[in-house]
This record gives sequence, C-alpha cells and structure tokens, in this order.
Amino acid sequence: MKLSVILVAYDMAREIPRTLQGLARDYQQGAHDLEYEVILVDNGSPEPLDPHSWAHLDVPVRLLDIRDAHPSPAQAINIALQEASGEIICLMIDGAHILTPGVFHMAFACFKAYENPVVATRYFWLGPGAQNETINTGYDKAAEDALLRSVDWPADGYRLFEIGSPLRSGPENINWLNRMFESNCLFMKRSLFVAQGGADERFDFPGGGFINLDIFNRAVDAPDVSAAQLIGEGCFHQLHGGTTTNVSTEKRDESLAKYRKQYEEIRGHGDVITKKTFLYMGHLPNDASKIHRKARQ
Amino acid sequence: MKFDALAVNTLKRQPGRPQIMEHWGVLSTSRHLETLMKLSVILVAYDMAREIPRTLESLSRPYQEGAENLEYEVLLLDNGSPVPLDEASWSALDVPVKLIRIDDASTSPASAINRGLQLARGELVCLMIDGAHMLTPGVFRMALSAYRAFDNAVVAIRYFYLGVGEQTESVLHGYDQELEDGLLERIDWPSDGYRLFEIGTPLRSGAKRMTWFNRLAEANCLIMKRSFFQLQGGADERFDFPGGGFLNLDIFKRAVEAPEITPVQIIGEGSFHQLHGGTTTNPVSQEERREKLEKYREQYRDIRGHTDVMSKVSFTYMGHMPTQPSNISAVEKRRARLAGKPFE
Repeated sequence: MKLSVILVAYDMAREIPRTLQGLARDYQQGAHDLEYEVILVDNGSPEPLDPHSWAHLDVPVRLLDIRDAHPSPAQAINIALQEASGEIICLMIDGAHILTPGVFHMAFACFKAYENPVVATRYFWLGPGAQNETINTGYDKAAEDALLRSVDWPADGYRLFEIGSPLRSGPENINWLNRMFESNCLFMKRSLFVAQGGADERFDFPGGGFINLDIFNRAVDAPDVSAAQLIGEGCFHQLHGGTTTNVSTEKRDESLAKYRKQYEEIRGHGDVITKKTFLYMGHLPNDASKIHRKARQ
Repeated sequence: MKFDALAVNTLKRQPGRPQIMEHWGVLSTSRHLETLMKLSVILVAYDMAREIPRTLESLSRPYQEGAENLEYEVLLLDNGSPVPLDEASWSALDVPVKLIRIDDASTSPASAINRGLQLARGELVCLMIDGAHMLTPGVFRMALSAYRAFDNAVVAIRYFYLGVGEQTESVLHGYDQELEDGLLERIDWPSDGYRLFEIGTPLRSGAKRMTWFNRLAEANCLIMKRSFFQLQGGADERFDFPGGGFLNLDIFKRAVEAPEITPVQIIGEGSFHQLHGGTTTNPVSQEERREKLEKYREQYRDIRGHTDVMSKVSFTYMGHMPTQPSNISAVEKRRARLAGKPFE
C-alpha cells in the first residue's frame, strides 16, 4: 500500500476522534482512492481507546492496544513500524494533532518532485498562542471545543489557520520558510525508517524526550535524502495532558534540560537542528494561512 | 527551408512574416521529429551584445545544476539588432545555442517568440522574452522537479533587477552598466550563481513588502509544456509595440489561468535583469514611462477587453532557500535599516 500513518496515543480519548477525522478519506484531499492505513497505537492509556468513538468516520484504522506500555513512545513506534506495509510512513508521535486537508497531497507531491524526501509538516498550537502559556490565561478544552465549532471544523479544514498559532522556537516571528527542527507529522520512505532502526528506544523518558528531534535529524541528515517542508499545511496540537506541551513553562524548561542531557549522552553532541537546506512544497490556501503577514502585525 | 512543413505546431504563418536566416544548417522534418528533447529555451535579444554572453553563461551546462547531461537547446533569436549578435562572443561557453538571426524583424518580440516556438524541439519551453536576464543555477532543476510533481505545471521564476533598487529608479540615480559590471565582479560571478541575490533587487510591482509569496504578474523565465504553449497560440502578435507592450503579462496571465493548469512559483531562484536599452527599463523619465505604460494598457484592453492584467489564481510554491541573501524579506529589512529608512 501507499501510506501507513503511525499514530501514537496516550490518554487521548477526547482528541483521537478529531485526529482521525483529520486523516479521513472525506477530509484528506485525494484520499478517496488512496491505499493507506492508520496504525493507531494505544500506548497503555489508563482507559483504553474506544473504537466506537470513531466508528462514524471513513478512515482505515488499525488499533494496536499495548498494555503494560513503556512511557516513552519509542517502542510503540517500532511495533507499529513492524506492522506497517505502506511504501511511505507518516509518523505522528503525538496523536493529538489535527491535520489540514492537503497534507497527504502535498507530501506525495514532494515524493514525486524530490529525491528520497523526508517531509515535515509545520507544527501549530490550537488557540491564540503556545499552549504552555495560554493554559495560564484561561485556554482550556472547552475553549478549544468552542474554537473548533467557531470555524465549523471539519467543513473546511484550512480554517484551522484562523484558530491556531505556529510553534516558535524563539522570540522571532515565524514564517513558512523558517527551518523546521521537528515535526509531528513526518513523512519518509518506510525503507529509510527501517534502515535507520526506527525509533531509538534509549530515549526512555515519558513522552520520549528528544526522540522526535532525533528521528527527524537522523532522517534528514541521512545520505541521499532531501529535506522538505510543507507550506500552507499544518498539524494542530489539541490540548491534552502532554509531557512538555501542556505544562507550565518552568516545568517544561526543567524537562527540556533533562532531555537535552540524554540526547547528548546518546548522540555525543548537542546539535539538535540540522544544517541541511530544506526544499519547499505547498500553497497558501486562504488568507489565514499567510502567517508571514500575520507576523508583521 | 520550409518551417511550415513542420507539422508539430498549430501556429499559422502570418502575412508579412520577416525573413529568417538560420545559422545552424538545415533540418529536415523527419530529423526534427526524431530529435525531441527535454527543454528548449526561447531567448529573444535585441541590441544586447554586452548582456547575451552572461545570459548564456547562466544557461550553460557547467552553471545550471543537472544540465551536464540534460537534452536541451537555447534558441537565441536576434530580433533585428542593428549590429547582429556575434557567435564568437559566447564560443567559449558550453551551452547548446542555436542563433536565429531575424533581419527584417518587427519591433515587438511576439513573432520572434513564435518563430522560436516553431523551431523548438523540447517537451518543455522556457520563455525568456527579454534576453538580458541571468538565471540562478537551480532554475532548470527546480522547474524539472515541478514537472515531476505536477504534469500540467506552468512554472514562473521571480524577476529581479541587478543592483540595489529597481533599475527604473536606480538609473535616475547613477546606476549604469559600469556599476553593474563592478557588482558582478564583486560577487565573482559566475563562480556561485546564488550570490546574485546579494546584488539584486526584486521587481516589486508596487508591493509594499517583498516576500517569496508575493504574487507574480509576469516572469522573464516562464516554463511551460511546448504543446500547451502551442495550444495557447504562442505569443499574440497583435501586441506590436516595440518590446511587446503588455505581451509578457498577457502570455503569463493566459498561461496561469488556463484550465487544468497548476501554476507554480519557485522560491530561491531568480532571473536577474541586466541593464540594457530596454523599452521601459532604460533611463527615461518617469513621465515617459507612465505614458508608455498607459499606451500598453490601452492596447491590452483593445485586445482582451479588460485591463485586469494581474491574475488571481492560487500558486503552488516549490523551491528552497539556498543562501542567507536569498531570504529576500530579510535582505529588504537589512537594506532599509542600513539606509536609515523606517521599516514597519
């Protein structure tokens, strides 16, 4: 088959149905006749995911329920990778992400246009800013639900840009051409991911620490790989009890220091941002997607 | 030789079409059909003895990435230059040029483009209506990538002027060919073609801010399928002003708005205009220039029935950011700061 989405979930009963809607045949452009599968790994949620919650969706889900799971998603990713049969893998390490409708389409365009690409989709928060900060000023799941209702999601998935904010890696304004250093929706050939040994299970912190950065860096820095990032498509993080995404900035910074130390121990260096030149692919589907303009306000 | 025998296009011979002299020998129809190739660059020149060698260098095999083994040709149409182009001026370059001298040329490049289109053997044509444009080194590579992703692409390369400032303005403040030569020497062109971004300025078309996402209204390097350009009828020869008036805008708009087309803008590649005696780019007063543009607009309205020259289609973006100075938004910001100008 063409594509296997590997979707890792932990305690995301609220978020997963929307994530799956974002991956559904009637939502993703060109997915009607696409041969694909969504391998949804329930990585030991206290309350196992209930397939009834997405039974109304037209999405080819295979649920792998892991009990006694490791708190890092590394093993879950590798189990799913063994099960995957797609020529291309789409890795979504944090299952709480909703996609815009052209992610598959544009990712496939990269695979046609560029040599052996690793394709990154830009990371957005749902809501008015970084959720670590907005949760202190009243942003919560009810507010998020209301935002999604306000754009009548999923009727036009590009309206997510109206209610989301791009992840920033510093104080600078962000735009589509800024270099990415991780992605929660990362495409690569399955053969490449397998050759790299999948996820490195030494990243054993709950949530995986820098495992996502590590997977991204190793993939784009591999020989004969093109690094590509999408323009005008995004993955939008829903609020859930994530290990770094939905805690205070102080707690997050403590965790990041631990993660960095582990990364340095495993890789022998602290370079988490690749120097590879990225190729671009995409479009600007509506005014709200013009984040380079928003940055000027 | 009879080009009308080449039944590979739909163009009709226009009455009074100028005499053509071919400089690369006789092609038979059968040979023509046998030697299809990937890309034909249609390059129109008028009085560009200084500029053409650099343009050709930027189209050469060692300069364009991936061109070593590319099957391509550069059809250089000398559209009646007072002093004909001299092949000796580019004989040192490794570029597959075919010079077509049009002695009794019309002042508009329209018929020259159509002659080039008739002769073209490429699956794709790359139209460079103003032969004074130098390219960055990834133009071919990115255009070919676009065709791998989108079979029905029309690929547009962003237009830059050489020099700091748009030449329509900068020539009024002393920019000249000597300064331009100095700039090119300073970046050691052609050793790294992307350094053109260090010495160029994007065409603004009135935009307040420049980003790679600004909508293009025209391109001086436009890549299309040859069969598509033929179906479009090539260049409309009713655009008969010297330089073509709004001919280039017309070709661009009709191409990107055609049904079933995927219009693609390339990020991180550009065509850079060398200063020459162009019809709107040479040192004329703003008043003269405005008058000319008004005449062009009138003619466009007469031909198309409207003056809506800016297309509103959505573009697909492809490309890369090869160097820091190719970040045109950041460069603009820095230049404004250096000039002590406010930048919102």
